[in-house]
Parts: sequence; structure tokens; C-alpha cells
Amino acid sequence: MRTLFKIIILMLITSFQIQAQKETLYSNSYQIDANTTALLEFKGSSVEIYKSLDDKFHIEYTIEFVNYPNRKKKAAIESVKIESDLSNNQITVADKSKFSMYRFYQFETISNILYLRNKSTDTSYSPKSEDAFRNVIIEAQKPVPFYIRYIQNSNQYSEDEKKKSIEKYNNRKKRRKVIKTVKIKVPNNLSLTINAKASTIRIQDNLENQISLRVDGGKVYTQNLSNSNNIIKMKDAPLIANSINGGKLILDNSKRTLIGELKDVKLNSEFSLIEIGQIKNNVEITDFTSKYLIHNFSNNFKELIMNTEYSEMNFFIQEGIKSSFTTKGSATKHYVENKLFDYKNHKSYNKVKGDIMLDVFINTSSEGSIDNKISITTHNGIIRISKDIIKH
Amino acid sequence: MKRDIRDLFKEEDELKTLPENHRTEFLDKLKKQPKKNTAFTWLKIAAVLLVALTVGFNIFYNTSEVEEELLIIAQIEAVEAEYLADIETEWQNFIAITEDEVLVERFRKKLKALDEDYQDISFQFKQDSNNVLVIEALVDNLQNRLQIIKDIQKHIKILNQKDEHNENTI
Repeated sequence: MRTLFKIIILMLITSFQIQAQKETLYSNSYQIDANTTALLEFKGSSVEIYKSLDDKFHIEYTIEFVNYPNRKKKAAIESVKIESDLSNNQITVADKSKFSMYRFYQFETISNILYLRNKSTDTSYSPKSEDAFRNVIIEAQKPVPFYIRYIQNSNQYSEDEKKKSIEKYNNRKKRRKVIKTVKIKVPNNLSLTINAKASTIRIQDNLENQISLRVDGGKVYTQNLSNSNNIIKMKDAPLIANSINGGKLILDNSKRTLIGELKDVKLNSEFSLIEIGQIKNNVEITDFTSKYLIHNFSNNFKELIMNTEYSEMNFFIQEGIKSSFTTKGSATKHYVENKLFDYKNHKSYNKVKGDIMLDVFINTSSEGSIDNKISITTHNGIIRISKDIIKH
Repeated sequence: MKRDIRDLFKEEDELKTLPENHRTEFLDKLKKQPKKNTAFTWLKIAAVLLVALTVGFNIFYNTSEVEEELLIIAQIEAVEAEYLADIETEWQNFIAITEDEVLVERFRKKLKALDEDYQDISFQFKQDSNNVLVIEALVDNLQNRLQIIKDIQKHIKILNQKDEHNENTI
């Protein structure tokens, strides 16, 4: 009788609570050669990309349950559908999993999202050193649970209330979650094409592979990407990158993009908000209605070219950087150290040169010592230059 | 030969007589019966309660889940209507303050593209209304449309500001 009682109690307990558990649902590897390419397609996926330690391409799909009820586990596992193949010397990977999430979120959280109206209360930009910007990127790349992200972005709570809510959430002992991850390891000489929709892509190592990355929604976090043939296209998705060296970068409605270093890149953007830690050699930017915040320039950045329309460009110019700064175009407001700069009445303004609005040197008066140029063609723009805080 | 039925029962009544101490004997037998095992009884009660609670909980849970989903759908529709009204208001404000037809056309095109995205997301939501990421995408899209029109208005107002606090030295 006692034994029967114990068995029943044990059945009751195990039916409700499961401890953390990780399973590999899919795993495969492919040998490649110099001509192998890879096409990866993701929708609603969480992807981690690493450098492979051998000459093979590896893929692994894992699922991790934390305090997840048994009755929901089966549905979560059955929702996973991952396919990969090597054919005609091309590796293809497709994650066709269905979205599966146990209903953890309180009704209140969901309905509060509906009224979430983010409004930035910042009225100024502050300069950041290269190191400080690197730390910003490190922080921005840390995974943040949905609930905490919602609290941090919400205008409904004071800072104190936000802190308490986040502490309470982090201290909850029985948080339930399921973590589904596609892990990919790529060898050095493999060309990658990645098409991702509403996915989180984390490139965890520095990659020199030729990458064609097309993202529609979701987020991309990456270390250093270096290849002159890279094409990165972000639509409705932010890019948080340590550095981009070479290639083309296209940003469409990419809010809160952070790039530590930009070098030898052609950047096309519109309707975006972009912060750059440091401009290095030969960067060319074409933009419509985005906001740019450029914190630093390298000593020998050579030339920054910008062609913009209705853009807002904010530059922090450090003491040691010598450069010419030329703007041409029309109907553009220039602010220097937060004061409107009347270029028409400045000695540098040359009516004969037509559309040149500003033509000055920064941190030097001697043209002979200049190796760097900032050349901006702008119509209906706003340009702000400062060594310190920029008010907007 | 037929007999009176009443006589038959009279005879049976005479035959059947209870022993004098039948009550005492019966009570003794009753006392000697083995007692029921209360442990099993307790388990039976617990099992019945458990089943009742489980069934009740599932009914309650499923009902409240369905009600919540309906509420969320209703809220989304209300929020969508509010945002769309705000977007229209800001759009009218925008076209009133600019003479740049090319700019207006580019924004019109952008808003149209965002609206098409919104229809895609709405379709996803209908297939999976439990997906909190889809709900967030719906709100993001509406917020984004409103914000880009507000941002360009702010930009235009700065451009149109009369020059004050001029600085002509760097």
C-alpha cells in the first residue's frame, strides 16, 4: 500500500516538472573542396555560425528545455524540421521548423506590447572612444530575454520600476524556456549565401569567407567580417558588428545598427539609424533620410565620401585627426559645436564654386599636412560637428 | 383443487418463525465482519479529487486561454485602428509642410511597402495568434510607419528654422 502510494506520488511529480535537458535533434557534416558553396535558408531561426576547426562543414540542431512541461515537449520537438544536403558541390541547409512556444507570457505582457510606443528621450549624443564603443557592442550582442527587452524599451515604467521588474524576473526560480539553436561551422574557403527571415544570426568568430547575407527582419550580430566581395543586405533588421572590412553593405530601415569599424566598404542606406565606432580607409556612404553618428576616425582614413539626401550626419572629431571637411549641395544646415554655422558668410564660402557650402580644415590650417578628406554631397541635410556632446 | 390464496400465506406464516435470539446473533455477525481498509479509501478519494481537479483545470484553462486570445485579437484591432489614424494625421501634416514632390513620392512608396509587409505579418498572426514575436512585429511595423513620418517632419522643421545664433568661425 505504501509502495503504491509512493508510485502515485512519483508519477504526479514527474508529470509536472522536468529539469534542464539538451538534445541534439539533427547533425551532419560535409567534406568540401575549393569550389564548394553553401546556401543557408532560415525562417524564425536562431543561428550560430563558427569557424570550422577542420575542412568540413558541420551542422547541428539542438533543443534545450528548462523546466519545460512534458506535455509540451513533444510538440516542440515535432515542430523542428531541418534539412541539409550536398549536391552539385553545393551544400544546402533549410530550417523549415514551425514556431513553437509554450505560452509563458502573461496576458498583461502581451497586451502591454500593443501599447508600447517607444519614444527616445535623448536630446544629445555623447562621443565614445573606440574602446567605449567596443563595450557598447559587447553589451548589445548579449542575448536578452524577450521580457527584459520589453521592460527596457517600455515607456510605462520608471527606471526604478524597470530595475525591480528585471531583478524579479531574473530571480524567478522556475523560469520555463525552450532554446532551439542551429549551429553551423564553416571552413575558411567556403562561400556562404545566407537568406534569413525573422531570424537571429550570430556570427561568433571572425570570418574571411565570401558572404552574401540577406536578412529580412530579425537581427544579426557578428564579429569581424573581411572580404572584398561580401554583400550584406539588412531590411527591417539591425546589424551589430565588431567590424566590416570590404564589400557592400545595404541597410533599409535598419534601426540601431552599430558597427565598430568600417573599412573599404560601400554602404547604401535609407530610413536607418547607424552608429559607427571608427571610420577607417575608404568608406563611401550613399543615404536617404538616415541618421548617422560617427564617433572616431582612424589617423589615416584617407577619404570618407558621403552622398546624401534628407540625412542627418553627426560627427565627433577627435583632437589628433587632421582632415579637410567639404560639403557641397544645397539647403543643408551645418552645426559646429552646437551652434548653427552660417556657411554663406564664412570666409571659406566661395560663390564661384557654386554648390560648395563648407570647405574647411579640421585640426590644422595647413593643406600640406592633410592626408584625409571628408567629402559630403548633401541636399536638405543636417550636419553636426563637435569634439564633445552634440545636441539635437 | 383450488385453494384460497390467503390460506396459503397463513400456512407459510406458521412455518416461518424467527428464532428468539436472531437479533443478537445478527449483531454479533455484524461485529465480526472485517473492517474496510481506510488507506485504500483515502487513495480513492484522492484519485477522484485529482481527476476532478484536472478536468476542472483543463476546462478552466482552455476557456480562459480562448478568452485571452479573443481579447488580444480585439486589442490588436483597436491598436491598429489607432495607429492607422495617427499615421494618416501625420501624413497630412507632412505633405502640408513640404513642397518636395519627389520626397513625398519616396515616402509614399516606403509606406506602401511597409503596409504590404504588415499584411504579410497579419496573415502570419491569423495562422498563429499565440506567437508573441508576430504580435511584436505587427506593433513594430505600425510604430515604424508613424515614426518615419514624424522624423521627416522634424527634419524639415529644422531645415526651415530661421537662422539664429549664427557662428561663422570654426
